[in-house]
Amino acid sequence: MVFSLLFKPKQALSVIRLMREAKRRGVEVEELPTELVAAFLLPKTRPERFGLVPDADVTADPPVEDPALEAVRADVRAGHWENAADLTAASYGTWDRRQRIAWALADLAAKDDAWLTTWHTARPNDPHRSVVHALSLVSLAWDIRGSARATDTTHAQFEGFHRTLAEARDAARAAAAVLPDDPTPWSTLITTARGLGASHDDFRTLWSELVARDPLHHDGHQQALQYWCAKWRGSNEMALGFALDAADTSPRFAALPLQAALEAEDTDPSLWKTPEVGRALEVLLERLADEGADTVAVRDDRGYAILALLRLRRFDEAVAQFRVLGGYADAAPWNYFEMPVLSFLSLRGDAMKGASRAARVGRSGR
Amino acid sequence: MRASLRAAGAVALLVNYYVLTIGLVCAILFVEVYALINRPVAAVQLAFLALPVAYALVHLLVSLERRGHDEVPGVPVTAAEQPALWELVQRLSADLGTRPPDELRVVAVVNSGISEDTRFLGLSVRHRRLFIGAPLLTTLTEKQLLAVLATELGYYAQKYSRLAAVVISARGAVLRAGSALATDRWFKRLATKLFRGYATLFLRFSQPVARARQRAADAHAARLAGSSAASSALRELPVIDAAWDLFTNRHLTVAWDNGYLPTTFFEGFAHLRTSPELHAELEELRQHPTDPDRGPHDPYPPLPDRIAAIDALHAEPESWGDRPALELLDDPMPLLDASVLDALVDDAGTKERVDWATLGHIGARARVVRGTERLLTAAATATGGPPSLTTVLDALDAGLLAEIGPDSSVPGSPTAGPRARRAMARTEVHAELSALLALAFSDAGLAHWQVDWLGRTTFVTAADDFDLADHLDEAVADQADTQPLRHALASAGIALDYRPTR
Repeated sequence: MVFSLLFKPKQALSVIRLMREAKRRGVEVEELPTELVAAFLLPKTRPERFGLVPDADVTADPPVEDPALEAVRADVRAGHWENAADLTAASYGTWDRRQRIAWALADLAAKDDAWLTTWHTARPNDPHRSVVHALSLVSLAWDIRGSARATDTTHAQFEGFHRTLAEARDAARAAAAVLPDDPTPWSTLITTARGLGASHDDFRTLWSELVARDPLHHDGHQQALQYWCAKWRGSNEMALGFALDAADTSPRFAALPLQAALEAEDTDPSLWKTPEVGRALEVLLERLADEGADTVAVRDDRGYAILALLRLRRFDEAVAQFRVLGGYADAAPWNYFEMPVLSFLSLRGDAMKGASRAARVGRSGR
Repeated sequence: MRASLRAAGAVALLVNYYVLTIGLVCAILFVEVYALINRPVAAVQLAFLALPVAYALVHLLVSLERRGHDEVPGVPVTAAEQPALWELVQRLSADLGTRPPDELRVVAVVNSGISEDTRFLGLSVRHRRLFIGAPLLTTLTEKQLLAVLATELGYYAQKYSRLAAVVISARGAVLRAGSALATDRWFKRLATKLFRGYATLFLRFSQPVARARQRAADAHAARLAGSSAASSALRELPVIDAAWDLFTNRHLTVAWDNGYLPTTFFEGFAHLRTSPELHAELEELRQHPTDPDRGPHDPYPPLPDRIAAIDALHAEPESWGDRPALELLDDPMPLLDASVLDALVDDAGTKERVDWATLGHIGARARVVRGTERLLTAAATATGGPPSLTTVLDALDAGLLAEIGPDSSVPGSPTAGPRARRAMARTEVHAELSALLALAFSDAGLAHWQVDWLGRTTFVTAADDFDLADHLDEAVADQADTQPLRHALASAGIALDYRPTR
């Protein structure tokens, strides 16, 4: 839980106070509202001095990015599949959006796939359903495994994970066969290859199939980076190598080297300081200057930029990035943690604490 | 130190135990009497300490001589019953210049050995028993058996050094005595501790004697049976041991809990040893002999070293036959089987005896029955019906797949939905239902299990009867449909309300 990241002797007292507060309210510590936990655990800050949104306005709920998808999600929850089928079909050709839609529907189907079955019964030959079906098995496999460490994962969970991923792989192959130009099933195959521990050669084959269909596939690059990380089938060096290649291909992947540095942080914190990662950060900052925080992809990238700036102790710039990000703690790297808002506020507090007076706003106006 | 000197020293150590104990007791009594005359009050106080110790020392000395009433394992064999075997043992004893055993017993272990009833910690031998392992009798040649027995008897042989033979008997006696001594009172614990300390000293001191005797015994065995028979017998022991282990654990007692034993024991063992499926494994053991740790006072060096030493002698055999050792026995099978029955617990006699094929089927079926109990119970709980095949199918039709899955099918993610739980339950339920169907076919007389000598099980049925894979998949699918399965079962003549009995 989140307290592990806050376990410093100084805060032990706060944690005890927090437990007392939970007891007073008759709830578990985990059930306390985030802002209350933050108020107990985090040092007092004055976000308004830096032009930042107040702590209470920070949220892990993403803004509506794709109203059509939101509507379809509501339909699916109500048991209606038709709009989901139409939206998936209509997304053909805009691959990143299609991938986003497929993931959203797959996550829903992983919980309950009755609507997906109805879709199949009504349109047995709909190729777009096979794309969602394959990805839903991936989502299901990870639901079965959970995100605990290997030692805390049961034999039945591992077995179910691998069996379901194998089904997902077969389903994705079938989807790729009926939609030969669609990169989405190949991205699914890249994800299953990670969980199933595919060899480097097999993985490179899948990768070439993906980039042949969409050289700039966003989710495919994210999934591939995970594969090359030390915790899956690669190493710190392989992950960074892959990320730097991608960043060279397009500035849209400029955050990948930072992500690789974060993945390597526990075993090798020095990656943050390498010139390659520094150059990637500069490219990213330059690109982000023209972008707001409207899409989750941009918020991801901005989050990584903030983390890199903090690691490099460039607090003023970090504060500036927080200002653009506003109150959204829904994306990376905050969503790595169980309590994203708390980690967001904690790091934002670090940024304000380290920032110079120049980072404050409105001083001259008063 | 020369071996004979050390042997003399060891015997002296042994005699000294009695001298020391008696001396100590006398000294205690003398001091006590002396004190009683001169300072009676102190003497009474001293008595509280001195008398229990003196008593414990005497008690220990007496209890060392007391014979245990342990049941002696194995089936006794008289010279009248098995003249050839007795003749071999007598001739061997004469050759080795040792006292022939007074008693010969066949036991159901892969070993042979001598045990003695002795007086004065082995200084005097009263009764000598030779145990011969029944598995050895069925697997070795006469020459190999000879080598094994010569090693045992030669270890105790007096022809070359009478003192060493005494030491060997004494080691056995001391080890036996040390394992069963009274520790119920403090003064007895003290005496026992003293004895164990002295015993360890003796065992350590006499270890080189035992080693020398062991080497000599191996050499006798090689001289009598020839190097090749003697070393091949040693090579064969771990092989027989592994085969016997497999035999007793996976075959002989496979249906024990269900109340069954095979009609013949050693016939099955013979089949197992010669079965093609075991050949490679046993050959591997034969080529790379290993042996387990047998405790700190065992004088034998590692098996490979003994084999090498025997081979290095290049001894040619004397004139002994080379027929199978089994031919030494008159009507061997009842005797050998009796030794196995003797080794099993008392209620072995009450078990029903069936042929090997039936036994394998019963054992395999019992395992399958155990594998279906969870599913039947879960289905009965979920639906309120009896624990039967119909109930399981009804539960699946009712969409209760997740409910009748095992408790272990809990997804790792806290946000996982019902589909994840179903997916996890499906694998288990599929396997258990498949086993239940196999049982139903078997109990209807349409199929049975075969067990090979490695212990692998095969389900045997006319293939088209049991081709239910697709129906089974449909039955455990999310939109479960058990109708095709029910039809297939009905047309095969399986009652749907089938429930297995143990």
